[in-house]
Amino acid sequence: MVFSLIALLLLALGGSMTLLFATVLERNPVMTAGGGLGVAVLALMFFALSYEQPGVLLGMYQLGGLSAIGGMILSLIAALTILGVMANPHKYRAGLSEIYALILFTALGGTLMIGANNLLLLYIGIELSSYSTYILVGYYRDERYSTEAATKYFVLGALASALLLYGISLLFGAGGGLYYDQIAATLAAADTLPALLWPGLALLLAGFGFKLALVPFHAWTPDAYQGAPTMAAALLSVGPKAGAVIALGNLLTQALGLEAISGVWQQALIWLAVLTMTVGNLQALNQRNLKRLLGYSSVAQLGTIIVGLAAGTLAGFQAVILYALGYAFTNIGAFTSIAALRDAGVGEEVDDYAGLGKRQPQAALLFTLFLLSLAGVPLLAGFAGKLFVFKSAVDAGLIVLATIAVLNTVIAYFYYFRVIVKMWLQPAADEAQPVNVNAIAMTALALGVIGVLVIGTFPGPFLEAIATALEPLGGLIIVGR
Amino acid sequence: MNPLSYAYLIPLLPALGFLLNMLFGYRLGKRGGAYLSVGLLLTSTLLATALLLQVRQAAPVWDKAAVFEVLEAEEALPPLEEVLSEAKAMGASRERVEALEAEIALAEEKLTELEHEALIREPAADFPFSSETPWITIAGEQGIPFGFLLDPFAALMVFMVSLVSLLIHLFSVEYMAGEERYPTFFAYISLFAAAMLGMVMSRNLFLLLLFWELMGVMSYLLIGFFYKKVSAQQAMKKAFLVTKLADLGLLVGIFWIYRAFGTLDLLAIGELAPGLLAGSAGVATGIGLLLFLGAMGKSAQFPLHVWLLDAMEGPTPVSAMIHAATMVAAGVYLMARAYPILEMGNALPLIAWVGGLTALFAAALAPAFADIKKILAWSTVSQLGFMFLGLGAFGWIAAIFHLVAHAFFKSLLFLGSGSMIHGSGTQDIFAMNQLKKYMPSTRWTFIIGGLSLAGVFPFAGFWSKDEILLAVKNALSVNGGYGLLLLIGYAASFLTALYISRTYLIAFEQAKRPSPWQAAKWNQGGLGVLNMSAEDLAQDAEYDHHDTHDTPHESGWHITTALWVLAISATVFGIIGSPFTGNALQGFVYRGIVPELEPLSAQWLGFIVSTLVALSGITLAYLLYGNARLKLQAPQLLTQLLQQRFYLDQAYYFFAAGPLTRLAKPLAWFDRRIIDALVDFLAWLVAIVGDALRRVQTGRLEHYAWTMAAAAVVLLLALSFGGQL
Repeated sequence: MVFSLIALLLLALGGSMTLLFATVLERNPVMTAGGGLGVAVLALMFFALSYEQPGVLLGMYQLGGLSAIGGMILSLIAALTILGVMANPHKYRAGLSEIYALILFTALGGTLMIGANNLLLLYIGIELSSYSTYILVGYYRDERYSTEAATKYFVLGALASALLLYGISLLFGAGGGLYYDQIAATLAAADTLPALLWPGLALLLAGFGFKLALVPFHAWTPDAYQGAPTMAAALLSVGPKAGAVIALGNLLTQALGLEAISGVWQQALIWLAVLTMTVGNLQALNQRNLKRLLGYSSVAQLGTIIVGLAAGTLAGFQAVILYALGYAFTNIGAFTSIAALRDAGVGEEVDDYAGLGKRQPQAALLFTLFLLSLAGVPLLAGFAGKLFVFKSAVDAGLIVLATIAVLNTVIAYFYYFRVIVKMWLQPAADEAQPVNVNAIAMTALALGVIGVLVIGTFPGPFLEAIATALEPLGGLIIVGR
Repeated sequence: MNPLSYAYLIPLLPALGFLLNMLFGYRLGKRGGAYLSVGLLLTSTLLATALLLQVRQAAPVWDKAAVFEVLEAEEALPPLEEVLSEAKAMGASRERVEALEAEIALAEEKLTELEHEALIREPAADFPFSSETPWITIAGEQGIPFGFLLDPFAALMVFMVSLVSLLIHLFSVEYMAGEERYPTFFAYISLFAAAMLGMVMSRNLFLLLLFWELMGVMSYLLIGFFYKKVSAQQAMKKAFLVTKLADLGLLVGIFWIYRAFGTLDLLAIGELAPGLLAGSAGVATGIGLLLFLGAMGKSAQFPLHVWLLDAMEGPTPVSAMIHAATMVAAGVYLMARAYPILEMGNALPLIAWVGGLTALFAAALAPAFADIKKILAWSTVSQLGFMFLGLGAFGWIAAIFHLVAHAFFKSLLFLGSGSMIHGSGTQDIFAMNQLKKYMPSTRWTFIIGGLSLAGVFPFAGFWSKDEILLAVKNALSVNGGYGLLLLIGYAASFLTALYISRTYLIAFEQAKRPSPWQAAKWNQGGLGVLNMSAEDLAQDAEYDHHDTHDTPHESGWHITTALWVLAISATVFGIIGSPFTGNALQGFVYRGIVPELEPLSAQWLGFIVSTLVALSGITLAYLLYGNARLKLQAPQLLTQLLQQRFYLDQAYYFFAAGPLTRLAKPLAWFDRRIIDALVDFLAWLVAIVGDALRRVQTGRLEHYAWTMAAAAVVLLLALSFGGQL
């Protein structure tokens, strides 16, 4: 209990302090950044310590186990993002200390979503992370693209919040309460399921669909990614999504795990997964801008993650969390590569990367590894995630879904490898000068690659830790077969 | 401290050397990357030494004299049991059966007592050291754990591999200096060493296979290190394809083991094999033969030895690496590890025959070559044949003894040849000009290595080869066929002494003279003539062009240090396995409950015969090449046959490669025109749809909002109606 509290307070107070003392702190950017990084790393450690200490905070928030794992993933995401920002703090002059605060708040919001067992706390978590990211996307307030992206993201986000809140209120009506266990108990006791439940579930899924950028709620993604500062896009692509996907799994299994209901959300998730994977991949195919390409790729990746939830089994949920962890390392790594290379003078178009293997072999190699992990090449984290997600779908009897997912992986190979081929096999345009990448950025990339390799080669211990955390949910997972 | 706490560093450090050299090698100065690799491998070697000592400390210690009594008592048991079963079958009286049973029980009791007496020191509780952590776990499947097994055999191999690799690295610092891709070379060779180290430490066959294949890749890259040479390109492909073909056997063998045993864990296989395979010799034979196919490829046994000669296209340190510490040793190691399965089946005599014939065949070819590296390559093939002969003749420890001894003296000879090439600028022994005058260290270490290879007392090869021949002699009691194999073994020993003496005499003692094999000096037989055009040959000749020094020079300290350390290691190691030290090696590395030691009384005759055989080989070589008292002109036909390697490569080319290529052509057409076209069409379709979808992304906020709202409505309707149904 103590450790979880310390971790949560660290994120909350760390963020607030950075905001409060912004003017003082900005005089010493190195210290500010170090402080932000320190807070994230300490939070990560305290979440790790709280893993074996389950408990409930104020009846609303579960401690230890799953929420500890979620906290660790999000603190890790925050730490990696902060490292990426530190590599070139001048780009975020609009508010150098605020950016660290916003990153920490995003992580806090994600953690709250995951641990919540109350619909209102869930909503607060989602909004906390959403508002932080709205601001982050518009961080370049003088740039047209950045403000445009933020505006679009914000307006659509408001629409999604409305849908979500409406869904929550309907669910409150149908379930007779805001607590997950309360809802589950009411529904289990009812002779016939209340009619309000279904529109509630639908709007809830629509709201989450926006947060997770599932097709057709994904239209904001590429614009937001392209306009946002690269590290903000990195955070946006993993932080709120890792939080939301685990939170959705938690909500569906704990509150709506009843067999009659789970069959319905399973169908909905299957359709969303198929649409998301296919459309995301097809739209990514012809992208010329790397950030847009990664934007669509992250849409498709989320579709693949949803396959694990759609399986509706404990193994599926377990695979989802492993996937999210590996994806965090991989995608932040990929975005950080782009940010670091951008700072070193390389453009953001795919064509700008021609001959990069010669100009900056180290960074090109690391970026290649991230792309390979995204594509799902064995021994890398992306492969482990995909393998277990697909296996859970097959074991749940969803053969068609798994087949579509695998076919989609093949399509995805095309655009990931196009970048790799560009880097290694095509000559650089005209002036093939060597590119100097910042040492901090290289450190961040190397850390990312280590994570990708460790998870990819030794997924066993991670899976075991996740399985232990999911044990309390064991009885609640029930997709009837 | 448990050795498992540091053992993983032994393969990891050279692997790190690969990574650092690949990433930063070209920035670390002229020799920075090389010294980094040497330093990392030195650390590995020190750890391997600590590992060996700790395993020795934990292993049981036996009293040699008492062990003989145990072995005698063991041998007395089976006849008694036979009498009992016979008596039962004959329907003997109950008293008789009971009396016999009592006798057996008494003998067993006595055996246990003797075993207890012979054991001077009990093994440590955690012996043999092994670890296991979940690695690839899939719910509902057994999965594949990651683990090390550090028994005496593994510890010995780890020590040998790290020490020999370290010396080869040290040698290369000087030998490869001036090469354009110097750091790349060290990166490759470090990973090569790491793969072998990982392989001998693996606890399960899957992990072993991974490292085995990694070694295959590294050998491919290293053989083709001079990739601008057409012949090197050919050689790398050939090595890879031949070993890959053999690996297919290994792979199927491993699948079969998993099916039969339900596990790939080496410890479990060793424990389960006697029970599981009793009565199903067919399975044991089948698995044994499949694994042997893999080993034949890796360890270059007839008829899959063809790649090894061409592998000489790689730089000399690579040859030393392939021929001593890694690669070829892997096949023997695998078979030694699979021994619990092999001895339950009938594959062993076949293995013995393949090994014996390879030993003789390769030893007969060696004297027909003038390129020193090719002579040594044939020698390796032949010596590996000896090892398989030993394995096939139930001489498990003999084969291992020879494996390690050979690793030391063959790497010594290869590095020696490298030093000779370095000093004289040629690989042709006839073109080397009285090297003994100029290269004292190289000369003396080459003599030590050569005598060891020839099997002269008291050098390593003498002890280890004799163990093998003794095993063959002992196997006579099982099967008369081994008698012929014994003769073959001695014949191969004789030829070995002859060709290595010839090499020494011509290169070190004789003045430079035109090679009698001028006609096909460089690419004697084999691939060179087969599929290289005149332009290719000309291009390679230009690449190869460097001056021959008529006044050679001794190599620098990197090279001579490596040579002397290897010479001393080889000799000391031989002594450790000899009766002088009470066969300390055989008392440490063994299978079963007690070590199978041989009393000196069974060995001395063998010692005398081998010494005579070796000396007669050396004498003949001296008469032919030393003082030329004996003038012997080999018939033209024989020379040609030997130089063309019995036309085996040509046979492969015309009967396998040719028809396959012809068959491949229409298939390639079908692939390109039909299958690829289909794929291209699908890709085109996907691209079109993708492009259309891309246009949907208008960038207008109201479009996005409408889409979202519409989707929410669809979802709402679907769930509201669908849910209530």
